[in-house]
Amino acid sequence: MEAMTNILHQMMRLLNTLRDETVKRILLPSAFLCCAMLFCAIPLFAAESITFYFHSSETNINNFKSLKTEFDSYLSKFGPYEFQPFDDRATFEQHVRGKKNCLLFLSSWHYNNIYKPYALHPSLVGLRNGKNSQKRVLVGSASGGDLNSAMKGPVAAASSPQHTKSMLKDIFPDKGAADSVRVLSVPKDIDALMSVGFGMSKCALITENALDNLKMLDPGLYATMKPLSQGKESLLLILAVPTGFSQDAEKIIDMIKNLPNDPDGMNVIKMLDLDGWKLVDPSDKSKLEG
Amino acid sequence: MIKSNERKMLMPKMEKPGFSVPGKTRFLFSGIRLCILFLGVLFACGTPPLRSDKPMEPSKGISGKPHILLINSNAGVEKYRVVQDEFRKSIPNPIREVDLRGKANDGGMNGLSSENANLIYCVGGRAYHLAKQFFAEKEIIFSSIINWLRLPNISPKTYGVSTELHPRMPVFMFRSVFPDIKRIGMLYSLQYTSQWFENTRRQALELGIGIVGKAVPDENQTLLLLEQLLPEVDAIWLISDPLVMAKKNYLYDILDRCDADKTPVFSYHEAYAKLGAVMIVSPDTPTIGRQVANIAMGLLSEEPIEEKVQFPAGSHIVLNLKQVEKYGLKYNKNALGMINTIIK
Repeated sequence: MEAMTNILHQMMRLLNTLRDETVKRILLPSAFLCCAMLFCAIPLFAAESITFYFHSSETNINNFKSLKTEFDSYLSKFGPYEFQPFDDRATFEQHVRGKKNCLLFLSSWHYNNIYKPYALHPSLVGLRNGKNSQKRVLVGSASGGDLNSAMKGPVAAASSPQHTKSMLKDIFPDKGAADSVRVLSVPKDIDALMSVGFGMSKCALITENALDNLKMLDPGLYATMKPLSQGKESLLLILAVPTGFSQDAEKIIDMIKNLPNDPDGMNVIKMLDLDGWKLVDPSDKSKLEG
Repeated sequence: MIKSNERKMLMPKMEKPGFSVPGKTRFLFSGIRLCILFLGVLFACGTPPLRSDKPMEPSKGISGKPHILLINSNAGVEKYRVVQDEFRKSIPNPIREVDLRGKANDGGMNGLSSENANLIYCVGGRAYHLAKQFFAEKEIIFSSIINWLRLPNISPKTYGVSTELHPRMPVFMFRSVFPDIKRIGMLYSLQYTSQWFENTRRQALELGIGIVGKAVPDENQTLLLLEQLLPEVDAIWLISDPLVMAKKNYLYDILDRCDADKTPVFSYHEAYAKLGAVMIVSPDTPTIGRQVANIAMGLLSEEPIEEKVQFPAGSHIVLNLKQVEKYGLKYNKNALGMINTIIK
């Protein structure tokens, strides 16, 4: 803008030196016309930055600084892309509302909650151990843990309290208990499991995968726990695109799908606790929007 | 501790009037005095006695919910402030918050006794000591106190969250990230950390990891014992022990020696990662605030609290990938999902 003003200023000085009024009358409008055309053309040549917004209510991911560094490093190979994580659902939703030129990473539960008002459609679903879905398991102490005592809480979980309570509604025989139960939010599934093991909470709501990992790495601690109940199968992390996304969506989606094939991308996918992505098929879509 | 005579000295002195008054004014003054006396008698008749055989009912906040007195030793310290913020966000009850930063002696505790809070939450050691002095009969929860086992006056009404993780937690994390590391060396002292060492050794054995320890007998032996330890182990686990780390330069000397030997160092404090430690496992500070809120809500609902002083429920992990690559260490990429900070 400053450069443009300088050019105009120089041109005006040149015009003042011209004596011929006719030349002035032709030159002045032409100069303004040229400037106007330049202004209109700039956005066509400058590439617009596309942002990937991230919020996961299913995992209490708090490695945002590292995740952003790794993601931005991977994305910079392809163009002006940026990764923007949010730890708070309300801020995330406020930020993406009405935006067209962005992509969203969010949990399947969150997608189901907002896809209509935010006009989203799902593109990719995460994969872990060859599966695109997971179950939540409610785990209590092997000595005396039961659903009745679990309903009194506290329930340790790495997902957001709203998500945890929503999952518990499917698990608890008394649906009202899910609303009133105390939830202890911890950073990771393994923290939730250890909090049961060491008496910090009565039970833990964790993924099946976390329980399998504990069984493999610490069979001693695993033996002190027992699964009390399990929830419904739900899809893993979703990449969603707003309706009316104007850019080359296919190219961008491929870029994310190829994360596991790149050394930097591999770190990103592992930090998201995934192994890869797959395209959302009609059956996934009906599960997501059903 | 503030002695009673010292406390007396801190009380503001009442000054006697040092001027004389004329007759009419004196009459007016005595009239005012009579009125005050009359109002005083009326007030005294209308209020319940201050001392009675029945214990005073704890007051309830404006919302009708029991209220909590939160005493922070110094809200200027980030870790203290974070637990306080998280506690406030996690509990629906009214909270009276007191910051002892810059406040001398009793920090104004005398004035707070009359508020009759239902429960006291103390952040840091100074807050705990004052709470024990002024609110000994109340249920007290503490957090952010190093080595809580050394605290005096632990009563049945004392609850808390310690600053040290359960030893199995870091061992589990080390094993998850570095499955090839089977023997970890540790310098400890019989005076401060022998019990912790024994417990950790037992826990690690269950996870298939051998902890090789050297007890440091005096402050000059640290580096010598490190030399003996290095050929026997795959990694060194630096713990907080004042005898092992008696001199400031020991930390740098240990890290430099291990770096020269390409032996990874594990530790408990985030700052060590910037100095070259490979992996740090420490308690997650915000989770401590939420955990205390959970204990408080349990107590206010009169639920039995099984573990009175709990280990922190959340962990924070830093992985120094720069050092991992420098030493050529194999690490489990599948474990990256549980790492909070990666240094590259």
